Amino acid sequence: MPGGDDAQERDAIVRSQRGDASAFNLLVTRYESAAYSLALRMLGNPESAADVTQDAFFAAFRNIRAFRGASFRAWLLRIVSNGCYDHWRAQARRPAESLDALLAGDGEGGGAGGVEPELARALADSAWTPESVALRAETVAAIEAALLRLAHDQRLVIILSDVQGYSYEEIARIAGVPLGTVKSRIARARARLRDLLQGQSEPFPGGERRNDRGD
Amino acid sequence: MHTDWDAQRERLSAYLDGALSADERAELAAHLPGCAECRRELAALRQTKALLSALPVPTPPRSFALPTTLRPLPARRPAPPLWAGPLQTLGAIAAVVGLAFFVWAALPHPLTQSAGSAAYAPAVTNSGADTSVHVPTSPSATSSPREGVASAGSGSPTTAPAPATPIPTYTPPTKTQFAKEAQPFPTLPVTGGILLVGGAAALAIGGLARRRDDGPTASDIAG
Repeated sequence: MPGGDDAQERDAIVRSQRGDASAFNLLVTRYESAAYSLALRMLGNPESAADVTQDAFFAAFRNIRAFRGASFRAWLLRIVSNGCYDHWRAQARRPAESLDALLAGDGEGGGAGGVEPELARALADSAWTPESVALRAETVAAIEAALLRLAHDQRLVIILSDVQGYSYEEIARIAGVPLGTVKSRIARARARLRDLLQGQSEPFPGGERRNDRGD
Repeated sequence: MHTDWDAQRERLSAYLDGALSADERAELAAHLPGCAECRRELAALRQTKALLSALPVPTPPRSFALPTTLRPLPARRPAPPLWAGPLQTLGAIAAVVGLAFFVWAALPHPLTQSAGSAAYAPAVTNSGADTSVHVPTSPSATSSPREGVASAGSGSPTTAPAPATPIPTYTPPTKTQFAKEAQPFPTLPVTGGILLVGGAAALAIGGLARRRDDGPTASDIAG
């Protein structure tokens, strides 16, 4: 995806910087799926995700002349993730709505109820691979709900790493944190997510801290 | 078993992502066969990662293409190159000095001219016959007076048949006088011109370097 036609992408960036919005729209076409996926996994709400994505592209083009980095994708996804944090901040200023959202979020899957059967099988069977079966809708919903229960910082890195498949280096650039922090956050997020998916309230073997927040 | 389980889990997680150094990797590979706890944890982390990567990629609900009338903001001027400022200052100074040279050269110079005439005056008055002596030499001296005078001074037999004894004694002063007067005339305006043109060029280059990134689209704002 990214490495493919670098020359074309660089050309589109240069033309965008000269003010050509249609050249920028080539970049939009190329990255809108990645940007929207990140926003949706972060926020869990299609409308908010679409808003944040649109705002991010708008901001990216408006500030395209400030872009001097090596990776346009990392730069863009950083804008998207900043947009998600802004969204949460704005939500926090409207307590009534955010309480509703919180309750609604808690209602679906992942809660105290039993573990979804496919999930249980996948977690128990070490031979299980995602290629063998397309995930059932319930399983997808359970994973999505578990993601939304992660701390924001952990959620960001685990989505970038395990859902989108980016390297530690690119994640560090997107999240704006050092590599070591990326590493430890991913480890904590994975462990926490595994606990959430297994529906167990005790943490895994060592059993020290219940709430392992980012670094 | 592990005193720092967080660190161990971080190692397992990085192992899963191929993010361990060769040494760490070898160490963990040696440790795993003997540690059921770590094997269990590693398997669980691997399954979690596999589940997440199996999530379907959501389809964007619409295109996020921007209206083509939109324009980017002007670049926040990146700090101009360090040399632009000093270059402009030097250019301005050079231009002013160059202009001053011009003006100086163009003005009638009461100082140097009075000094010149004062230097001449005794030479002319002292040798009243000199003028008459100079006239016959003039044919050879029309093109270059200095050479004419010099040749007259060298005392060639053709130029001095008459009793022209005072001539050789007076030529040296006239020669130096010519040299003194001839010099400032070409150098002042030429140096001034070079300084003026060079200074203006430096000013322009410095100015360009400072506003190079100023896009023409500063004013248009959409939305």
